[in-house]
Amino acid sequence: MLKLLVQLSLRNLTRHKRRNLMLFAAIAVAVGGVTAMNTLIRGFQADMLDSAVSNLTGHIKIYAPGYRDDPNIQRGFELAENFQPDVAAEDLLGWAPRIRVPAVIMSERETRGIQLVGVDPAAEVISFLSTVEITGENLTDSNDGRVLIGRELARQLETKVGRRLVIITQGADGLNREKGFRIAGTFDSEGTSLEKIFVFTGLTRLQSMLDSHSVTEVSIRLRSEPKTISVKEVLIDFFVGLEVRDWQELEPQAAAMYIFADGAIFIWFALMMSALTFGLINTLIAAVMERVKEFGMLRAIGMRKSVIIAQVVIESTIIMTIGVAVGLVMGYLVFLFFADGIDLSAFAEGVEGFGMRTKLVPVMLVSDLVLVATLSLALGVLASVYPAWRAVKITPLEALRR
Amino acid sequence: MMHVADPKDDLPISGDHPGALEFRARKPMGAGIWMRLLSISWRNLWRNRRRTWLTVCGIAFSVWLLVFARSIQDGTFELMVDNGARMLPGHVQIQHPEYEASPRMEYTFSASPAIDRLRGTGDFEYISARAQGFALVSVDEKSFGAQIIGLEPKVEGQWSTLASMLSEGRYLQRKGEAVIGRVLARNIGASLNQELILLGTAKQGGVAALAVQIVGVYDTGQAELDRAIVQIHIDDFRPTWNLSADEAHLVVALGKSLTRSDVGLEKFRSTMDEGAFGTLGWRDLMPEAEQLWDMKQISTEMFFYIIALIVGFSVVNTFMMLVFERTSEMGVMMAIGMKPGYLVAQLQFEAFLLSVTGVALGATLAGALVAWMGETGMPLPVQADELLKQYNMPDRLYPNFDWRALFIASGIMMLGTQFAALIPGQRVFRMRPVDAIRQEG
Repeated sequence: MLKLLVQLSLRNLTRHKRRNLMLFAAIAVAVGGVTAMNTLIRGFQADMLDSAVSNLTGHIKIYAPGYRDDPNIQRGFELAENFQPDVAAEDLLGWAPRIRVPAVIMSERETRGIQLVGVDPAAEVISFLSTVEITGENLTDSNDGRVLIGRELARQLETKVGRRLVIITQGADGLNREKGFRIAGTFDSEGTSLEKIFVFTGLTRLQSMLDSHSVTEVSIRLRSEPKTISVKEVLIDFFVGLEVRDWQELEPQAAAMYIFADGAIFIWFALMMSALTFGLINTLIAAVMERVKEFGMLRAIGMRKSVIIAQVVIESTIIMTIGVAVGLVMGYLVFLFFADGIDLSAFAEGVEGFGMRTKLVPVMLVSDLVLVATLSLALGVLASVYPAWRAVKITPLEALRR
Repeated sequence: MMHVADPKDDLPISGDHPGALEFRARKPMGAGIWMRLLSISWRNLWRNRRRTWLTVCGIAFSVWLLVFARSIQDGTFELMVDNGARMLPGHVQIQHPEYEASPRMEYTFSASPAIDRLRGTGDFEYISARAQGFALVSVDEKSFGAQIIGLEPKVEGQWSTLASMLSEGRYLQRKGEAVIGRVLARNIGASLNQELILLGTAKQGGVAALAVQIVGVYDTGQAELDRAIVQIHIDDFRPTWNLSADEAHLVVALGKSLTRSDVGLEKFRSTMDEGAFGTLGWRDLMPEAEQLWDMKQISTEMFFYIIALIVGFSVVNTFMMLVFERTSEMGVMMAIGMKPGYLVAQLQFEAFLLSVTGVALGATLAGALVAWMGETGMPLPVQADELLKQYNMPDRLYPNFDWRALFIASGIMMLGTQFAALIPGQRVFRMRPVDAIRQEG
């Protein structure tokens, strides 16, 4: 029976090749458009997450209690030599212990407030520090007593590589320390906000300047975001008495944008599909109405109502399936076309304000494809309800009288 | 087959024309025939009400979508910029010509001539001077670096949104007071009424030291403002940093409206000596706002083009069905002497009427919605609060009807529909009346 229905439907589809071609084109453009749009939104999401996470936050961060309200070295904690939480190596990109304290930096001419960050340069593969362009030299290791400053800060302080700067910050005893540093190099990040805030130096040297063996934070970067929750639990058990925070708690704005982008995918879909529905229903009704005689005949020789409904629904589903398949391929091609990234540098300041990079690289998620395909097919069935009802309403008598 | 009430009334084949041959021989010129074609088209359109409505709705939907979306963006943008400007930068800033490139303490100028000239334009509501510089800010043993802004609280207190975003205490009123950001206060462990020591480098290089009392703590939700800014009275700033009584780093002005500020700035520029001042409008002060706006507009338009394409396909489809089911009718018309050109023209009329109806419906819906929301405002989800603060957005949107979007949307939909009707219309030229009549309608 089903075979017969499918056959009937297919035959009806080939009856009006051009009309159905137009319908396929409309469905394909809608599905392809949604798919391409989704890859951009996902790209934007990934980008924003990456910016938020690599901006010294990491997926998870560990603090001593109270540090976030009062960031100074007295609120640090000591790390055991070679501490090893039980996190699967394949989930972990790396972890970086740091000291991060507010400080005042002075050149011969200018004074600025900054965040002084003591780092182990080898461990900073997990942060933006590994991707920035450096003029001069990078810090060599944890014992490097020079500083790496942002290009914009260097400009504001009217200083350059090789010159000296004085940094004032609070030591472990609560008293201010003042020390001269030579500039090893300047870094050039996207935008200037990071360049203005962060000044890096070797972790061990900073500890000795502050008379402390502590660090103020450990930042952990994972290979994939969804692991954050499970790893966080492991870390809570490991770092007893410390605060373990994930990026969503640390960067609430980025997290809100992230959720917003999830919603945007559904809004795009709903709008595109609404535009499509008008044409779809139109064609399906036409397909029913031109077969009034046929349906009347089938009813007269005893075909049940449910079977007639099934036939219209099957037809609609077949149309949708073909359209969706073509659309997904189209979306994929658009994705490939833009796979190298879209240059947004013309909007550099605007996109930076949005927490994005100037190059938007689309990301295709299989789950999105499945979602779009499923919802589209569901829509196909939904759109066939009225035409099917219309078909059932045709009585043999009415049909034959025409 | 022919559903037109009485073809004789409408077609150029009535009693005036004794026969088709004669009709063909005469050149049917004049406005009459076009009017008739138009009225036939209108009737034809409603022969299949359901189909026409569905197509009209498709067109209306896309017009509505673009106009409404752009109207919301339009309304939002001005508010966003204005809110951003009122947070701290103002609409317009006048500076020492070198100050923008390198904000150094010694790049000052005499404020009152600039203030007078700004006032002379008549486009600004609030004008005042600021002096600013970096300093070490400490409470007891703890210290932080921050930007110290010396301003005139009497003037800025009237327009500054920052002044109304105090989580504790009140805004500046007189000398000896300071307001600081919430994050800064937390970082140095400062609370209301405590003494704040500012330590910086004065204009000539000496030490600038000042003690002020914290009278207010503000919470704007914007990290940069909350973390690193202290506002004090400009009359405290000047003597401490060795500035004379009229010296300033900036003159900040707020226009009577955003557009008036542009006009006023232009007037100011045209009267000043070349290079005498650095002049910054809101576009220079908040470059990210305009770029964000451009990006949003581009993405909205791209989205509209995709939707227009989808609707376009369904319009082509409608006309294909229409031509197909009228094939035999068209055959009859041609047989009795109607030229194919007229049949195509008739289809074009139908397309025109269809798109006009759709556009009118879409524009009306969008207009009504915009008018209604312009009154009541469109509430935004509470979850977006964090974002709204960050981007200076209000918690309610007041859309502003975007005529440009209406022109773009209706232009594209109408041209598209004419074109869509042309595709199946070509069939008419290839039709042979005999075959056409024989075809089942």
